[in-house]
Amino acid sequence: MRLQLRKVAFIKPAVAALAAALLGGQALPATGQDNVETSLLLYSEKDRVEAAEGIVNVGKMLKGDRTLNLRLTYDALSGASPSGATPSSRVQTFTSPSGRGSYTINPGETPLDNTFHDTRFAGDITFGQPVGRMSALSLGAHLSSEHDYFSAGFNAGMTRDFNQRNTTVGLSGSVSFDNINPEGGVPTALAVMPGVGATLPREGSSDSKSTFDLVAGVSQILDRKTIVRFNYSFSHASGYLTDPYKIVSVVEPESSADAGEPVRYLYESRPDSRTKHALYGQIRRYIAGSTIDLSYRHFWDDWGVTSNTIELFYRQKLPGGHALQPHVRWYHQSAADFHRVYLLDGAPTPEHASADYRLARFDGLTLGLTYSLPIGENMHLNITPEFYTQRGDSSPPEAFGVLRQYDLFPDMDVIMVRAGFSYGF
Amino acid sequence: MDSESQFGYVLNRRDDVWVAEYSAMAGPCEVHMATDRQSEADRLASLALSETRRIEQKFSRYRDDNIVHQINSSNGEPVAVDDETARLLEYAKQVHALSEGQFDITSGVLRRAWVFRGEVVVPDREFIDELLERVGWERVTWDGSSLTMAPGMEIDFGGIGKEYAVDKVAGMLFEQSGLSLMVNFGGDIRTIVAEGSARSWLVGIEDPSVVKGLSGSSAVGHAELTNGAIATSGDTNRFCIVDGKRLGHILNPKTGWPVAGAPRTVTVITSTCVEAGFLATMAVLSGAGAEAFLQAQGVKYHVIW
Repeated sequence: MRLQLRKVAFIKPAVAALAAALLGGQALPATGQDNVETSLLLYSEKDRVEAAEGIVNVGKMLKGDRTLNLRLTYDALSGASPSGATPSSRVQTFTSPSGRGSYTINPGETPLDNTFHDTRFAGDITFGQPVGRMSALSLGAHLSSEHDYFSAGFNAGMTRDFNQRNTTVGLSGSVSFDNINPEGGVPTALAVMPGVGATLPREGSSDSKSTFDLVAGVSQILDRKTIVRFNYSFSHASGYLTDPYKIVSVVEPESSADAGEPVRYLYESRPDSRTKHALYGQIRRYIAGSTIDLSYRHFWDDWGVTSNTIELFYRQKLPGGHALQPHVRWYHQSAADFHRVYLLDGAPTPEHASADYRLARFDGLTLGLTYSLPIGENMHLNITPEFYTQRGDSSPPEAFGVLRQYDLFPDMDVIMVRAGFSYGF
Repeated sequence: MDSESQFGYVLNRRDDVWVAEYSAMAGPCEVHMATDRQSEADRLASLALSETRRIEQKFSRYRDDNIVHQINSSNGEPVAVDDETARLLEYAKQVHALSEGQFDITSGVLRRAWVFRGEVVVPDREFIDELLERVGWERVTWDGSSLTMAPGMEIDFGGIGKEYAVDKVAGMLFEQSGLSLMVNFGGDIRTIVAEGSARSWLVGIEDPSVVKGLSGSSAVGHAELTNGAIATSGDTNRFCIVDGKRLGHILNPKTGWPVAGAPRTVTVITSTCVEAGFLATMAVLSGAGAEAFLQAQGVKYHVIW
């Protein structure tokens, strides 16, 4: 007996396209369906880091309104990142993180660690399932790997609709376990950076941290064109929270003839726990073919960092399925309690100190424009050029001696272009 | 005076929606509108009714004053058609190719050889073979604006028209109002949810073999739709018995016979009613392979064997 296998043709996309052609360009709201999204991001900090990131996201509707989402991310970074050391009127030589090499910085220049390069691969998967008529459950897991960093975690969330589905409340939590495996080992906190070839002060080859996050939120439909959302998020991290590649300069005191010049460099030290809180509010309103989305976020933590973010999106639909979306984001943060531009030679060393600009006081402004164009049935291409500029205290009040001559927080300008492709079927 | 006699539809408030009901397309039609304002619901209901009637009158094969009649009585002469008819014919041509000839709007004449009343029948093979001579889109000349058919051939939008009307009415009402709404013509359904609304429409999938009124609810399942559509192909009450085998009313245009081993009904849930209707019919035409076909398409479905 011959078994005849007949291949079943996958005709749904063709049928959907024919149905759409038959029905003409009906202006209908977007539908929930299977989708594939890919995007490529090119990131360039002036004279610093260059990065490229590729993302593939596949969303799948399963039987019984279950959903499955898989996301893969690949990043490649290279370039130079500020090490935390202050500029000097002399040539400065730094030992590279591995201890086997060194790099020099010219007088007056911001010390950048140009050994910075990495690739990261991350994957995450989320499964969603309705529970009864009014609730939904989601479960997810993630993995992320770099040559010196590994992270794995789980998350779970629940939402429930009330009030004829005009109100949705949600609660979600996640845990993450990270392992840090720095090049050259984990530096001893606040130990002196030795010269090339000397034994590095090390605490072992790796360390770890764990993070617990919780988000509670509510969204409310005010009228058929307006939706508001609020949420509170809590995060607690414990373990190794220090950046193993960042250092702090110890400089000559004001009384010295070389006031402000570096004497030595210490590996930075951060507390071994951090508790963060954030409140977030968002209002989105649809007005005849356009959408306005305004949000505000207030953040504070027990490191003394507080930040405020205001973000505004405006989406304008254009004829033929095209759309333009300008956006602007303003960010301000205060410095962490232990942020130091430098430490003073002869003064007692504090328990924690970091010169990382990301823990300093600064303002950030992002301007961007997304243009989205249809390139076929249910297919869209998005292009987003974005400009980010960051400004801090270039001449902070604590600068003295030679430090007053230099820019202690150089402006950072970043140009990013993201190109995305999405396909729903 | 009740509102039906005045306007042709009845408008009622159900939960938080207004529901307009009227009869058209050989069955009950319902339009659910998520608005509090009766005046808005009235305006949309009369638009829905007139659009439904317009499509029915234009594409019904039972009338002698429309384009379908003109084509079917053209006696071999070319017939120029309007844009809307051209779009439907173009769609018919494309799905004919996509289905490898299994979906054919010229196959309606084959129904003359069959009676689907649940009775034992003896098919007249010679008559079927004669009718097959008059079937086949490949014998039609369609140039995108005019259609030429051999004398004796007929077209029939029966397998497309109702689903088309459901999508068309739903799209028109949404364009006019921006409201969340549901259009249900005898179980062929299209739902729309306005952007920013968290509403969803709960739709019962009915088992047509259960006679309503005797056993209470005939719903065998529910689907919750936001923007989506449901269409059913097959009819459990329309079948015949040949050599002890039950055959449903959907005919294979190549053989002139009902599809053996096919499910009684197939219900498909996807984004438009036109698409759902075609996939449901293709599933029935796949016979015993109906579920394999549906699984390959990745759509939600409900099959009654």
